[in-house]
Amino acid sequence: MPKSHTILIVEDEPAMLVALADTFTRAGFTVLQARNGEEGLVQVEKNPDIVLLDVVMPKMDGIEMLRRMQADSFMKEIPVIILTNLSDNEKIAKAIGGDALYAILIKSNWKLEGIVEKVKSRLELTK
Amino acid sequence: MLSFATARRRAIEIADTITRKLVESEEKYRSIFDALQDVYYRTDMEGIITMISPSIEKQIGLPPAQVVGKNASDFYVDPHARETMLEELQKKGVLNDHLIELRAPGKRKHINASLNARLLRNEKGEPVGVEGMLRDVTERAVAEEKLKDRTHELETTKDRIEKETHKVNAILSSMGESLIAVDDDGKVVLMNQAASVMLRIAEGDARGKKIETILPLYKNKVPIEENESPVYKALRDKGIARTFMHDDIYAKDKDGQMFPVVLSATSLLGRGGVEGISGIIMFRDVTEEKTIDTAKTEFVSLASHQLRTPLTAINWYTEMLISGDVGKINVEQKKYLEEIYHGNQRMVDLVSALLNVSRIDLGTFAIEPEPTDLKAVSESVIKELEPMIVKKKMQVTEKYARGINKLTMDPKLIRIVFQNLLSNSVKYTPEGGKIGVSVEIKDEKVRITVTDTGYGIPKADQDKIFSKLYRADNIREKDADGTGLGLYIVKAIIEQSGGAISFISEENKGTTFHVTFPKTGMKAKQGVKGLA
Repeated sequence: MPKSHTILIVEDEPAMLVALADTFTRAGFTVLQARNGEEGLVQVEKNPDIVLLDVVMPKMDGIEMLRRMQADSFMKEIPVIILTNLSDNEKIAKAIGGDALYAILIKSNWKLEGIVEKVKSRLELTK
Repeated sequence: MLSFATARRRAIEIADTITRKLVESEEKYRSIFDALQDVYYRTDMEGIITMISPSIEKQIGLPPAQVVGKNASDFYVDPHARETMLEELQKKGVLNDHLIELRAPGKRKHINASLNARLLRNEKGEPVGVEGMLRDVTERAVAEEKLKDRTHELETTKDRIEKETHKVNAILSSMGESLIAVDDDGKVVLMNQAASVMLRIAEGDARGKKIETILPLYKNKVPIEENESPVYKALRDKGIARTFMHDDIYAKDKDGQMFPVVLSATSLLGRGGVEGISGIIMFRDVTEEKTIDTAKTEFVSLASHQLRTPLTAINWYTEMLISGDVGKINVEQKKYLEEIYHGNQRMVDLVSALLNVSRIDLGTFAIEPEPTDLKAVSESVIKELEPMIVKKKMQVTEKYARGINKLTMDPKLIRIVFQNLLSNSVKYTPEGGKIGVSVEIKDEKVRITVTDTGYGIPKADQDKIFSKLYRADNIREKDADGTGLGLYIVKAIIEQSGGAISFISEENKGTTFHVTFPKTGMKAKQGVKGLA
């Protein structure tokens, strides 16, 4: 059996966090969870293969967490998929630049199944 | 010494001469009397006519013989008028140009006469009668009457004009909207109080100055050039030019203060014209409306955002249940869950559309063109619609010209255009219908055509289909899902990015939408937010 991938899900909305965590667990991932950027930075130390990152969160938002990851020579190698319900993407787009490591998904446009597919293909890319 | 006989003869001769002279004189007098145009008459103090010139016949149709001996009162239209005349005559001794109305007794036709009269007295100075001259002034009276009527008419008209002017002035000065009238050269002719207050300039100071110096207009803080100005546009086209709140037109007062306005400029030349005035500009300060509108739109934007999170959660959990991963569900349960999913998805779509509309209305959406493959965009939208296309057994024809794979378009926005036009075609075409989509380049233009054999847009609805929340009558009953926002969003995207949209449609035959852009693609637009 191939080694399972580890995914870090950073999401403040409990309902969404549970839905995502359950889905990725069922899809064979090892799931790490965080409810804001601060917790996320702690979890990212555990070296996940990919991060699913919400944007609007208390304490530290997703953009700030991403900035801190980019400032870290080790963390900046981790692919991040930004999951947001905002469609004012300019701020986010600026934060991720043109980096192929990063992608933005609008939550309401995506089924869970689709998000799993997207994560898997992103992992294929960085293999 | 003369004999008696001689003396007698002499006397007879003298008498003859006297008589002859008298007769001559009387004849002379009679001929004058007979030839008089005016009527000479005499009465005694009782009013009995003792003498009247023949000219009376011409006036009242009776010969002197039938008049003499009658009482003068019988000839007055108003019997009291004679008494009045006598009283005055006795007071003054003479009457000049005294107006009376006369007629033959029992006759209806009457004349207006001017009377000059005096009292006749005996040696003792007692009044014994009246002598007078009558002149027919009926024509004069008619003319005078006409003149009087005309004068009255003029006075009434003058009165009415004064009242109207007063009314118009009262309306102009008390209306809340500002109004400026300009002449052919765009120079101020008139300005109401509201305009004067709003622009902080007295009417007297504004008169004769060019409108652009009195009412300078700005868009995005940049002065609007003369050929772009709605005022000159209206004058030039002899029509009406209007601006709306979302046009973001600002005016600047004399102190340099800017404020948002909506205005309408109307050329009077196209409507018959008014001397000296060629155009009317009405405008009002919409600062408050703009604040309210912005707050409203921001609220919609915020509410839509907030709604998305729980809606997405519902979608995801329903999806998990349907997948059966958390436990087997039966066919009926699956059907119900799918209903929940479908209903919720509609809500997500509606919220997204509302969010887009709020961004369009706030003017905050960005247009970011980049090399885009229109064929790929179109194909992906058709693929997305495939389940419905298959279900309705529709035939789709696609035609793409070469060289459309790197057009400068905002991929998200052009996708929204394709998505809305194609999904409308699929939704509003009955089973077995045909849909066509083509992208071609012709005359330096990119032309996107989406056509169908669907229900069509009723004539009465055709001018409203791009309005917010508008849905045509014939499709409302066929499809309850539509939001009425799609075409509003499509039009806003196309027009704000430099394109144009038009359509032709016939009910129960079909509809064809044409979207054109310059070959150079979409115009970029700065903004903070994209459309969802």
